Amino acid sequence: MPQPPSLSAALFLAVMLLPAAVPAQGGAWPSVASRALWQEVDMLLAHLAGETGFARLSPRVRAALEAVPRPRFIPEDQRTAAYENRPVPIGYGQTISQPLIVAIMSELLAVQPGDKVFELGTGSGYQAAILAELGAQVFSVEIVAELAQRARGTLDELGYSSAQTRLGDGYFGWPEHAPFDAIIVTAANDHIPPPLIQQLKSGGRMVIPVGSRYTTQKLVMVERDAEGQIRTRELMPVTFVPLTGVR
Amino acid sequence: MRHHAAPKAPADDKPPYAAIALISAAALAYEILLTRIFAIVHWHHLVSVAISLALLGYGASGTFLVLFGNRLRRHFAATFVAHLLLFGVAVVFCVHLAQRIAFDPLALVWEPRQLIPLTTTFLVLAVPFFIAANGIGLALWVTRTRVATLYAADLMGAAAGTLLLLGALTITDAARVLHWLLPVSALSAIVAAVSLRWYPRRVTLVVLGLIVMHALVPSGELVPAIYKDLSRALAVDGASIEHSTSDIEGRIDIVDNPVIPIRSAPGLSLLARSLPPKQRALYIDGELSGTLVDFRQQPDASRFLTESLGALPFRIGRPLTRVAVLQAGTGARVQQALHLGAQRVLAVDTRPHLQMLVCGRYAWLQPEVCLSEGVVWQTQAARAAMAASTEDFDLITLALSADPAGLDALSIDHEATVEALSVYLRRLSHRGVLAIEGPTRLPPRLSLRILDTLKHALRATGVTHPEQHLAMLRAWNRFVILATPTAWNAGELQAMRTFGAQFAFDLVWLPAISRDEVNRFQQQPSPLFHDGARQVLAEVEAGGCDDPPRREPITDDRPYPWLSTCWREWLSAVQSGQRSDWTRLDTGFLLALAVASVTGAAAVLLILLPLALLRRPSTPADRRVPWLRTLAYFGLIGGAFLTLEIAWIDHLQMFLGHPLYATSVVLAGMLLFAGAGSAWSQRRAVSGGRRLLRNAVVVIVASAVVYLVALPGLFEYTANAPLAIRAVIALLLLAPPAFAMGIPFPVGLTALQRHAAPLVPWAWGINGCASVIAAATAPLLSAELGFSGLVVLSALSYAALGAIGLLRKCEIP
Repeated sequence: MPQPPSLSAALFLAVMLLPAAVPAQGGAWPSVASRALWQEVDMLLAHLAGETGFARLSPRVRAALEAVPRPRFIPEDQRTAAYENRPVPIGYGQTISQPLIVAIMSELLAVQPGDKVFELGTGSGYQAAILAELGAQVFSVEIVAELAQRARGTLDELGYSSAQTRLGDGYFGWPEHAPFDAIIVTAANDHIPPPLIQQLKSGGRMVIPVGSRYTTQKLVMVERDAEGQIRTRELMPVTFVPLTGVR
Repeated sequence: MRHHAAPKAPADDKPPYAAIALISAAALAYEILLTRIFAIVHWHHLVSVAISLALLGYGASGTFLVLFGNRLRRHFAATFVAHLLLFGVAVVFCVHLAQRIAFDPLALVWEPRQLIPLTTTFLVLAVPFFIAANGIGLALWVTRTRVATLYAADLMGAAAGTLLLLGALTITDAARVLHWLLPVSALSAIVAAVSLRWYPRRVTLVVLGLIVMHALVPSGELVPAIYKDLSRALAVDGASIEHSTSDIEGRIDIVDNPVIPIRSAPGLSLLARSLPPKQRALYIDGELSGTLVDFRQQPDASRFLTESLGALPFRIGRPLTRVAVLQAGTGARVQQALHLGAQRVLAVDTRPHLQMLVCGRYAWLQPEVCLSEGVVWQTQAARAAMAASTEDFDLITLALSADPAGLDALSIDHEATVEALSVYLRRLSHRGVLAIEGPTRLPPRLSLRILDTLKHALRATGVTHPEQHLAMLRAWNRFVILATPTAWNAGELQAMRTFGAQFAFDLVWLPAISRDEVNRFQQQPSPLFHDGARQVLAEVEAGGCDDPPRREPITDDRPYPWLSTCWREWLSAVQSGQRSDWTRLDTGFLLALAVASVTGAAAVLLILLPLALLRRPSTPADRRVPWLRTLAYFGLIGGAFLTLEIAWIDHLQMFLGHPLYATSVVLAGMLLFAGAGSAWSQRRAVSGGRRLLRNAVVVIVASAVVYLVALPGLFEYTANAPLAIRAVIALLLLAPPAFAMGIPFPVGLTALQRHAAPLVPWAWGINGCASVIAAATAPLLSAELGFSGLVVLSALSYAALGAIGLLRKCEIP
């Protein structure tokens, strides 16, 4: 008659089988990890209020960030880092942005349902998904064919089919759908393409993260006021965090 | 210090001189080629890493031979020939394998596990050195009576390898030269077999097989890592390499993309109404180094240049007809000068191959830049060209680039130091302007260091109130600083204000500027650039690193324009324990720290640990030997020698113009002269060791003092001599200290063999270990102490080891 497994054997089996049992996204554990991540981001934001102009995420943005499963936009071999507050490589020398930066950019864009948003640099598609989750009409352009294809697939799988993406030159924006309420330039060159500034609506906002793939030194925010005048602000959400002793 | 393990030989035979010379030549060629591999595949030349890896291979081999050499020696001919054969195979295989290891230096900040591929890459690349050193070490071991001549063959071979490599790189690229090391290695094996009269059929077949393999298998390419600019550009839909070429100073690739065209316009105003035309991108060693603009596309193709920050000097009302464009590169600033009214332009660039491309193959793109009567292109270092010029210029422009993550923190540039800027300022006409452009970072780093450096350069040219002679503006990601020997007048200052307002460029510094005028267009929470500039230009010095980021001026002694992290920032980041804190530090400095830690740990593990485990003192007599003094003496030799070697390589880059030339000259010179000093002192060490040591230390210390005083003048005087003459001057300068530096090791070893023989393997081991660590840490020390600091440190180390060896109670260990 077979012997019942001992407690230690059961524990051993449980530990061995645990990774297979945890879903890649969704399920109880990732939700916990996701909440913990956005809580951490919220805490950091409280200390950055002087820089960004807001002390915490608005409920809408927070809900959108929690609703979009970040691991799905990250290659499988990197998914263990999906809920860490850090940029993660997605291939072709590109990264998916640090959650803190994604959160700040999403908040700064102040997207309302129905707004038209242009994104230069689809990358993984994660930012496009968050903007779509916020109810925006997203028009995103990517220059690397494989990334564009992968992002399209992920967006479709997760039900963000309304977010339009295309492979091609985003330098001239997307004139057919211009002007835009918001523009996000995640693939900034050494200058801001003049056509993008021209496609920004009066009262619209453009956000540009500046730095390297793993370090966002500053966010440049370009605003076009009601009279059509352009002004920019430079925010330093990362650089001065340590110097102010934020933990 | 570089020595091959040569424990006392039991017997000798006909030494394989030619084979040793050949394999030494190949090993040194591989060592120098590593700097090209690092530059193309990874982020920097990493000269010190290449040297460190070579020393690691040689050091580990020394320990290996001490522990297992007896077994190999019994079959010397077979083992020796096998090692020579294996070297070539290992070079090809290891370089190929190392390129397959995925490693991203920028990710190190977030992923400490990146240390694993970093370590693996370096260990794999050190394997060929280990194999070559085993062969050379074995030969030295079995050749008792002719060690000195065999050692001479080794050194001569290494020196010849340097020359042959430089010659080879002028006709082909680094990848093909690497491939040629395979037949050189096979040839050395054949020569060894012949000289040892050992002809087994199998070896003949293997040798023939290798030669056939070399003929049939095409040489591999050196592929830039996925994070390099070139790789990322080629990932873009439609991109392809239109033209690729290599010369001794680097690999140049031109990328065109008709589907998603490249458009670069650094400093373009947010209010610009013009579009930059389509461009081709130019990459040097995989890094974006400029673009070739097709100015024929549209009639107003140059207009965007008038709406860029770099147009400022042309908008202040001074007549700027004679312009010198330094580091002209692809010629965009030449076009800008011509478009904005310059009549005569001298375009200076140090890279002849680049000029041939820009104004040869691609001259049709930019006909004005290359074919205008008023434009003269000159192949020379900017500083040397300005020093030699008899003409005065109304405008001299210089543009600096920088990695946004500070990956280039330990890169050397002698064209933007106080001394260099003083030369440019002296070359200006009475109302001339020096304009320096560059990218900005936050908090302000490079921009304020350049401002500080200009302040010191103005003072050096006799200006008593430099703040009256400077102006600085910034765009959202770029700055421009103007300096003039004649103070700005009210009209010119107003013109700058107008230019700023017209294109939404922020004023940072003008004489008598008020705080209300700054930070208007690219608004920051506080005017960081202006406050920083005010601090820099105030009579109270900013105080180096007391107020991070780093603010001291860039000098020839410490030519690191992009180094911005201060020790206080490092301490703060380390204490916080938060990885995100590391992102604001210079990644290049962090990587240098990681590399030093990895190679240091490898040296301890591969060189010292096996000795500690297998050669512990076993008898009471063994335990009475002077351990501490031995460790200190031989450790100091290794550390001081390599510290000075790296310091010379860094410093001679200014004089010789390229890291490859400096590395080749210093490695060959140090090997030859230190080897000569070592050989010369070997016999004399038995009876006159103390005197030899004393004299050697005196020569080293004296040459350090003389060089620190005399080198700047000598370099300035001979800066325009042909490269070959400068190389000879460099070798002559190296000769006296290097010859003396070769003496302490054999003197100490001779004494040790007589009085404490069990410590001989330890002497080799500790020397090798200290050499590896010193080579890897020297760049970090140089950034803090400068060339003069390293020279003094090295001289003091030699003085200390001299004291250890000479004091009565501490006779040579």
